[in-house]
Amino acid sequence: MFLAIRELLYSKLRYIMVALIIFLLSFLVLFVSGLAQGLAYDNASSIINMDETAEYFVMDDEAEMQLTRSLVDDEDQQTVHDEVDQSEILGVHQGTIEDDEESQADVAKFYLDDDSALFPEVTEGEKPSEQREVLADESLQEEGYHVGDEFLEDTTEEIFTITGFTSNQKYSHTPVIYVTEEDWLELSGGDELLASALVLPDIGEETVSTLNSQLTDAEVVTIQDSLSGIPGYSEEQMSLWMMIVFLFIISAFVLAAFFYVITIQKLTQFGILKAIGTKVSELANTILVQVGIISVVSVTIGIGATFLAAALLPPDMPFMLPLNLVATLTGLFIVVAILGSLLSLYKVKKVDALEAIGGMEA
Amino acid sequence: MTTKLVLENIGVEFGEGEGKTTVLDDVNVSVNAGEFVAITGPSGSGKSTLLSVAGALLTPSRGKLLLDGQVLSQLNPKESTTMRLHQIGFIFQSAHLIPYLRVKDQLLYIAKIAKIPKQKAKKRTDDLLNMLGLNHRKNHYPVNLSGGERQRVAIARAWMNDPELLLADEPTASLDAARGREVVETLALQVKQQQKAAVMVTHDTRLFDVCDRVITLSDGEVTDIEKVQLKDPVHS
Ligand SMILES: Nc1ncnc2c1ncn2[C@@H]1O[C@H](COP(=O)(O)OP(=O)(O)OP(=O)(O)O)[C@@H](O)[C@H]1O
Ligand SMILES: [Mg+2]
Repeated sequence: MFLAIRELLYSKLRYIMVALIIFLLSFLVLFVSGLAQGLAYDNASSIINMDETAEYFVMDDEAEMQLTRSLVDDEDQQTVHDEVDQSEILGVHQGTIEDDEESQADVAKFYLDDDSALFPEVTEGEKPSEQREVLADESLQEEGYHVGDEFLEDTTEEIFTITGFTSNQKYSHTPVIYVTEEDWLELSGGDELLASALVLPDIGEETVSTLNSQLTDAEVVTIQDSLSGIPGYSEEQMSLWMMIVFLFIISAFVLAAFFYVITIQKLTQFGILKAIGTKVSELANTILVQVGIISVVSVTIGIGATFLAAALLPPDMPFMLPLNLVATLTGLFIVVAILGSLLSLYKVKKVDALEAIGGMEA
Repeated sequence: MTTKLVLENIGVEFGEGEGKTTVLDDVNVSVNAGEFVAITGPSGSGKSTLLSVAGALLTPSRGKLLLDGQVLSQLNPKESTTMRLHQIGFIFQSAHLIPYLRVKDQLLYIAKIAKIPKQKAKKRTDDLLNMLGLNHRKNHYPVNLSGGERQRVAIARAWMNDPELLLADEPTASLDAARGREVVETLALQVKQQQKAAVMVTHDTRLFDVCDRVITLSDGEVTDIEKVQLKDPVHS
């Protein structure tokens, strides 16, 4: 600490430059992560929110995790009922609605038992109580819909009424509308409710494998994994997370190079310190304390700047940065900074006191 | 009288095969407690090299090094670092201060790594800076010091850990004659009073009278050991 702090204060300019680079890199990492997360949420908030209360989906094993293609048959539903007490039928169907001015909007029609814990909370208006009534995601308001407005549904070709709005319910970037049991029955085209998936709570690995061995045309997948089946989801996330991974790799190399150059410049000093009796462990400690201080300070400023930038973004730009993600990324960033200084530590361990001193005399 | 430092048949070689140069050849030196020894000799004769060996900074190719009866030539780097910290004070040919430490911190740092209690360290720092006439430069950084001031800070630093053995490589090179003499006399007095041992490399023949013995090195060999008539530097 003694040396670390005094040197940081003495060579302010040099370390401010390093701090600036760490700040910029951390800002970029956090910002892109926020976009990735925001985009994920904008795409699939309905499913992501289900993951809070439930854990697994039972889906058609040939649907490649796409809910809109999935159908769980009676036999498999029975198997699940025999094994698990709690399961909810989830119905998903994509379509369009049309207002009285014939302007169309893409929607995802969802069915869930409105008594279940999975059913979203009403933020405006009321829960639908009768047939031809729906609860819609509030993003539909951007299309000009209000509570009490009517629309034409494309499959049944019937007029529906929006009785209330809910928030954060989207599927494949389109607003979700929750239809009643009667309407889902009608949309299912017959006399029984079609299940795109069965939603299960956390039933444990063992039950999952039992189920998987008993189900004939279905499989149990985690809700998290099923996200990759939502059209566009993996593509968006993959490209953004790829950027984040590369940013981390670049950070590691840039920081390693920076710290290395600084260490090389200070090699004579390290030699003197060794000659007057400083242990290698103390020198290592000095470097790590410096790297720690610089990276904590710059990443903290990076976090602040990210949230500031997020506040200044236009509201329809998807951006979301949950605190646990911030904590993970910050931790990772500091680990990367410390990894970047390892090369320097090695160099310091190797430096010979006498050679370093002689080097300056020459 | 106890023997503090013993250098036995020390040989130092640099390089391999064709380019091999012998810098020290079979050097024997021993220094007693309370003794202040000068080493002199032409440039390139191996004075600094000998001092480095004595200071456990350089492992000799041959020979044995003893300090207070303990064999130093077989220590691993970690052990010799500890040795340097607690037993040896080294004044390099150039001051080699730490650029980002203020004068008082140069000394306090030694106290810190040697685990000297804070109160005691503060007092010792003040005393040493006083002794070397550096009181008004306490809060200066090395860049803002003159060459001679830097050299004196380096001397104070070497004394800070209260070493058994003081090694000084031309400590008066950048001091004026009067100031140089004063500093060397102070060092000699301390050595005598506290029964330490000191070896100083110097070209300044005028300082020989302060020393107990003068060893002349030439081409890596001891050519002359001159006993200086003992006299008390305090009363000179
Ligand atoms: N690392 C090294 N590799 C090769 N040769 C070296 C090395 N260090 C010193 N020497 C050689 O050893 C010889 C003695 O060097 P040393 O520094 O001990 O001389 P010195 O007596 O202190 O001279 P000066 O009075 O100029 O300081 C020189 O000829 C130098 O070239
Ligand atoms: Mg020399």
